[in-house]
Amino acid sequence: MAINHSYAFNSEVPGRIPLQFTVDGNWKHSPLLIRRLYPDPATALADPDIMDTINAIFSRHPALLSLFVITPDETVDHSRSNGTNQAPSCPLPRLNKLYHEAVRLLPEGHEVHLSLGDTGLTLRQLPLSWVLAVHHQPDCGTAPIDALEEATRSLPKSPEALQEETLSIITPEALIAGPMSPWLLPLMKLLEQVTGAPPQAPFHEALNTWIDREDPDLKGLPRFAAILAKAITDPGQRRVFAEKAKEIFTSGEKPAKGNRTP
Amino acid sequence: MTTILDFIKIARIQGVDSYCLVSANGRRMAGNTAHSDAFCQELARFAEESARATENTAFAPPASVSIRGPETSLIIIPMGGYALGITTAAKTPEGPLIDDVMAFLRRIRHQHTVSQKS
Repeated sequence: MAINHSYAFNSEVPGRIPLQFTVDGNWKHSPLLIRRLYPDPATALADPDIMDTINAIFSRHPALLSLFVITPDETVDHSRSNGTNQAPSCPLPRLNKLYHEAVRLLPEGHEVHLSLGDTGLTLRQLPLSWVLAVHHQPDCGTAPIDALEEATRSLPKSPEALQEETLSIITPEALIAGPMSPWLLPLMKLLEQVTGAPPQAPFHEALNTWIDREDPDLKGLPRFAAILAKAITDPGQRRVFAEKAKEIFTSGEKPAKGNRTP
Repeated sequence: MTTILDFIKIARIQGVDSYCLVSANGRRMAGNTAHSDAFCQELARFAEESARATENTAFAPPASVSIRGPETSLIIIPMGGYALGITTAAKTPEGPLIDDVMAFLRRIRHQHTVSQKS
């Protein structure tokens, strides 16, 4: 029986790029899918391990309000706020310039703190003249800011490195209609069969998570299936999905017969 | 009206190593050490810059800006058309010092308000 569902990957995360394609692999609408599916390539390219570390620091320290990693040209390369997944807006403009002008007044200065009424903004220098700005409650203390500085030290990249990373943008065609298509589409169908519902949102979320963690490739498919399985709340359905997903992987390892796809 | 002489006593606050009061155009108005003209001008310019940073934002201009070094800090307090720069003594806790300086500034303003009324 021909399946002709369309899967509209309308993101639940504001700002993410909506995707739409059919299970037969034809894209109905294929805007550029930038790597990691974020609207801002610079933010998207942050190492997921660093993001995990930053998230952990925020979860341990409720006095932290938001974080911004600011390039020399005042672009916010990375941001994080407490309590929401949405990118926060930087509280003040030109913070990189403000930091560097401030430390000229005290040559051994390594931190600038602005007292902003009920909150504070602490600025520290990162490599390559980037600046870390942390917006926080007054009782924050230095330990979480030290931890955030340590976590973000590897984020600054030279303009050449940034340019190189920007060129690693991939398209939906490369992701779905590429070498992984024969595995991804059966996984989607399987998810629908097992859960009894179109897998739009779970598949979308799992895809985002996967891309956040690694560059999608065939070797990473089991990890992608694990992400999908984790989102299935019913244990019975989860078990069935895990078993049948294995069959999809192993089918690709059998010697190819003619032009058959797994 | 608060006069320059009122600021002399600021050096008596525990934790104040040196202070410098400059006008908006960078002119040194008071201080207990010989800060260079260039420093005074930079101080005034930075105080203005930090106040301007909050324009068109939800924040009021910073009540104070601290530039922290390993031993001492430079605390900048914008005051209308002036900027007060305070270098802390080594290992001075910054929060209590700022509280003391703010209280001192309120006190000298209050004194003059009372004396003007009487």
